[in-house]
Amino acid sequence: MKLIVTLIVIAIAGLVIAVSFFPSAPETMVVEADRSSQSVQIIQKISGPIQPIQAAVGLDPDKVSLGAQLFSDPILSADNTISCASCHRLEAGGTNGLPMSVGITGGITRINVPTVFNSSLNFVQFWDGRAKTLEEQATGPIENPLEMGATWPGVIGRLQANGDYAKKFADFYAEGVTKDSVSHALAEFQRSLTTPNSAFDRYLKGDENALNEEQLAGSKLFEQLGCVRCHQGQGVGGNMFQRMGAKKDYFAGRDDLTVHDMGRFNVTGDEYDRHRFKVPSLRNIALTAPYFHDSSAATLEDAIQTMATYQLGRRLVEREEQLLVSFLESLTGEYNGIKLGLGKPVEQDDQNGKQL
Amino acid sequence: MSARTEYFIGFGVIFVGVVLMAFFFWKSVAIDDTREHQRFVESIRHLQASDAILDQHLLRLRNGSATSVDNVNQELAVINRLNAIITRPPVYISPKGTAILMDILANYRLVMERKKLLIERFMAENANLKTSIVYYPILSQELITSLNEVEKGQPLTEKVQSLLRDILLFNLDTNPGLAVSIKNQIGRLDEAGQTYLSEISPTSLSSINRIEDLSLQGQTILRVKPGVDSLITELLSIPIAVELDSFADEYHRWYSYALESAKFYRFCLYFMIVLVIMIISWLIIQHLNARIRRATESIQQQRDQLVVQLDERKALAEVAVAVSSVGNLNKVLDTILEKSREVVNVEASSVLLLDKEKNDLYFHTVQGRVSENLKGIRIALGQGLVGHVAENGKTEVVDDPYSDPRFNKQVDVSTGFVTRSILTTPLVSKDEIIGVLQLVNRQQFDTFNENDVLLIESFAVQAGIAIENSRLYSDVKNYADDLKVSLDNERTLRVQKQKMGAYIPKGVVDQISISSEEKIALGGKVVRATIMFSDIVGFTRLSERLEPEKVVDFLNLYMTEMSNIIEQEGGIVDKFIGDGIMAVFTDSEAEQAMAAVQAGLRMQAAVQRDRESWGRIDQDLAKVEIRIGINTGRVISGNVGSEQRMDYTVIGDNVNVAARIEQACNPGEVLISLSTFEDVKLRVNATQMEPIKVKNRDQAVLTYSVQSIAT
Repeated sequence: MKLIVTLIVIAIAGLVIAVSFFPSAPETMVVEADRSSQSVQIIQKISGPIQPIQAAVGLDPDKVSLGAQLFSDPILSADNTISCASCHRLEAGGTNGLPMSVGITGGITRINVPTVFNSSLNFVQFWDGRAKTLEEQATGPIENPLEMGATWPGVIGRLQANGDYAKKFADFYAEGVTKDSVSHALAEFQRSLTTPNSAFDRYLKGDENALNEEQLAGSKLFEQLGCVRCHQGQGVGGNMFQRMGAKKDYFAGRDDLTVHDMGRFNVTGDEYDRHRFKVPSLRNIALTAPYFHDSSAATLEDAIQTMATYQLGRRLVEREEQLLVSFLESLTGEYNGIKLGLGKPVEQDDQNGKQL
Repeated sequence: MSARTEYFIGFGVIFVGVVLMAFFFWKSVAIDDTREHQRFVESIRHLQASDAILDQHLLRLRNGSATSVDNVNQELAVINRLNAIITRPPVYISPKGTAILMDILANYRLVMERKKLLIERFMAENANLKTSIVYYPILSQELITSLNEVEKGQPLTEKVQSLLRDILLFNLDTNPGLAVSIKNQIGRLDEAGQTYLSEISPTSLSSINRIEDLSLQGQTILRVKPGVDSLITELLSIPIAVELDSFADEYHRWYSYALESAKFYRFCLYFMIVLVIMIISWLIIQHLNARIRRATESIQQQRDQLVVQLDERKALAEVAVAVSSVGNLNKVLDTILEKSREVVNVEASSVLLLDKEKNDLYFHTVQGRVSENLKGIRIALGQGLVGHVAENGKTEVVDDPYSDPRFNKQVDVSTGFVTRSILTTPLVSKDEIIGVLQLVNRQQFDTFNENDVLLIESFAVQAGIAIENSRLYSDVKNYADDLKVSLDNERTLRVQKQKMGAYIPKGVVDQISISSEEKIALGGKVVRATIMFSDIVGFTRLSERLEPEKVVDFLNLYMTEMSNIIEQEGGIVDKFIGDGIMAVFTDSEAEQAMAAVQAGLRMQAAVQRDRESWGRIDQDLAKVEIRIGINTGRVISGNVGSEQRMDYTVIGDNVNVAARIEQACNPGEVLISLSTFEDVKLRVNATQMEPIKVKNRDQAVLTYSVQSIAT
């Protein structure tokens, strides 16, 4: 009798437990208004070859600020002398205004410093595209003996020894201070370095008065000449490779070729890729002289002439050159709501100046 | 297998079952992660769609309807992201399936890398080509315009126009012959330009430059266009879709397999659940069964006990009936032994009685195999178990008699019986031990139990009662016999005294009569009686011839014989009259006549039979014959005579008639009167004789001679 009662109790308990496992009715799906797809709609409306810059979305502000702190902190370099910001000077268009970069012990890398602004719009990083992501790119200069000359264990050790960093990394990253978390923080910061709201972007978005006559004419010329075939998209470039000297051999008759002139060949080893470079973005181009990977063009005019000759096989008249310069100047955007190049006059970095 | 082992196995199976249930449950629910499946399938589908979209973008770049390659890069980024998702198949895909999927994925990646490379090159070449194709017609137009200003410019103009046509055609066509033609034309145009224009005018320098530019652009088109064409062809022919299709197919195959296995595991789970429930039920049933079995067994036991008790009661009742029906003691004891054997089931049983005179026990009744051998064996009081019990009066149960010193092995030795167990109980009557009841060799069990002892003791009580009853009965019977004998003696004495009365003085008679309750009184009463007279034919004459001693001897013999017969038939010899006898039958009026007739016939028969023996006294006595006459009627009975001398007799007319009939009777016959005949006529064979004239009677008396008793 006792046994039967026990069994009944067990059976009822089992049923009660089983009921709690019964699946709940599916909830009505909340269709969220997807704003990002809305903006995609805007892009598609602007069917021209160049699209306005989208403000960076979905970034973690904590990590961005941590990345910003790291970006300007020499702690990442082996001898604690230079930071990312030493060469990528935000107030100077994200580059150093020099034809080369100067590392910790005065080591010189004879390749043009690309701007960090809008680097997230580049489809690959570095001139030769050897880094597929910003994270990958961030580790490059840190480990480069001619640049920051650091090792990851050293960087991590220094960061962990620093209470502020240690705490921030512990707070923001589950894994704490690692190569991945450091490079991610740096990349996250770079992703925030977009420069929207340039005059040309405003024009693209429908502001008829954003451009003056010359700039408008320059933009038309930019398309007519075929510049836009390579310099297109949000970044006005930065989304494909192209041979330096598509129509004429840019490197012909030169005996001072360096490894940096080999371009993507250094990455793939394919003869096809010799002298092939990532097409650079023309955003904020007026602020990032000198130009080209070898910094061979000191001014925009020089650069325009070189491009017309070797990439288009054209001869430009002076008027055309002026119009194009006007147009390129309209591509200068805003960072943190302030137009680039206006805040502070371009100043030479002490160290860099000394080295020169 | 013991119940304990069964329970142990049962619980073991339940434990294993529960473990398996958990395992199967875990296995079968893995497939229930439908979101994972959806996500994966969605990713594959999305990947296929992205590939198509990518191709679409590339074609738009190719045909010039799009310039921005951002879309291409975005799509590639999407493809990369999706790739990362499908690299991790859901957990329910078996390791083998995962490996196969990874193989396909590796192929896909290989192809995809190739495609990315081609895209990279296509974008560069296509951009380069487009700039030339757009610029070429403009440049041609500019050249034609400048040539028109120059003399002899006409042939060149035609060449430029023809080349423009071919270039435009080339851009839309894939005819390889056209390429060769264009190449030749470019060569000829360069040549003509150099030859003619340099001579004509230095002002036409711009035209020469334009020819150079035109040549550059034309050659670019000629060089790049086939590359772009082949790139786009190869791009579109790369079997991405095939790889993705096979990946999707394979995934679905393995998903179905996972579903099937989950189904199997689920089936196993249900099976295990059923099994565990069955085992639990079985254990419960087992438990209940055991209880039912125990209950049944106890009921069965009680029933058996009741049956046994009933048998015992019945046996006791039968014994009681046997005891109460006073009869043969042997029979009663037999019954007791028989019943005790029936109830207790023993091999042998016996009753021994105590002989008080010899102070030993003897086998009175024995039942069993060796019963005959035991008769006659006597056991002294205090000897052996039997003697011991008879002395102490206590029941004894001995399981192993051979180890009991009191046990007398001698009996076994002499009878060849093997005693294994003995129950001995005393027989008690009136607080006195009169013997023992003994049962030997309990059959069904090894020994006697308490119930047996109680039962046999009650049998012993019954046996004691029976023996007591039997003794009482025999005592009573003896008393009765004694009483009968003494009554007979008394009557004989009385008759003798009456007879003696004739010769014995009154004082003696009185002396004799003192013991008698009957007072001899004077006076009489009228009764109906049958009177018989007998007489030896010619005895007076015979006695004169014989010596007196012989006569007395003969008469004593004769009279004794006759008297006996008469008395036996219930008559009373009234008096002897010489050789004659007068007898009176006064008992029941209905039978007295018949008794008298029977006595008469027997007397005649006795004479016939005995006279030969009488012949030994004297020769003449061998021919003796007697006459017998009988009459029935009213007579006066009483003591007749004086105070000193008194005869108890009957007197009256009918006595005379009887005497008269006797005189009329033929020798050797029995003659009876009509009145007697009336009483016996139905029972005798008789012949009517001549009537007799009797004194004092007017009518003659009718007589009948009786031959025999009717059979």
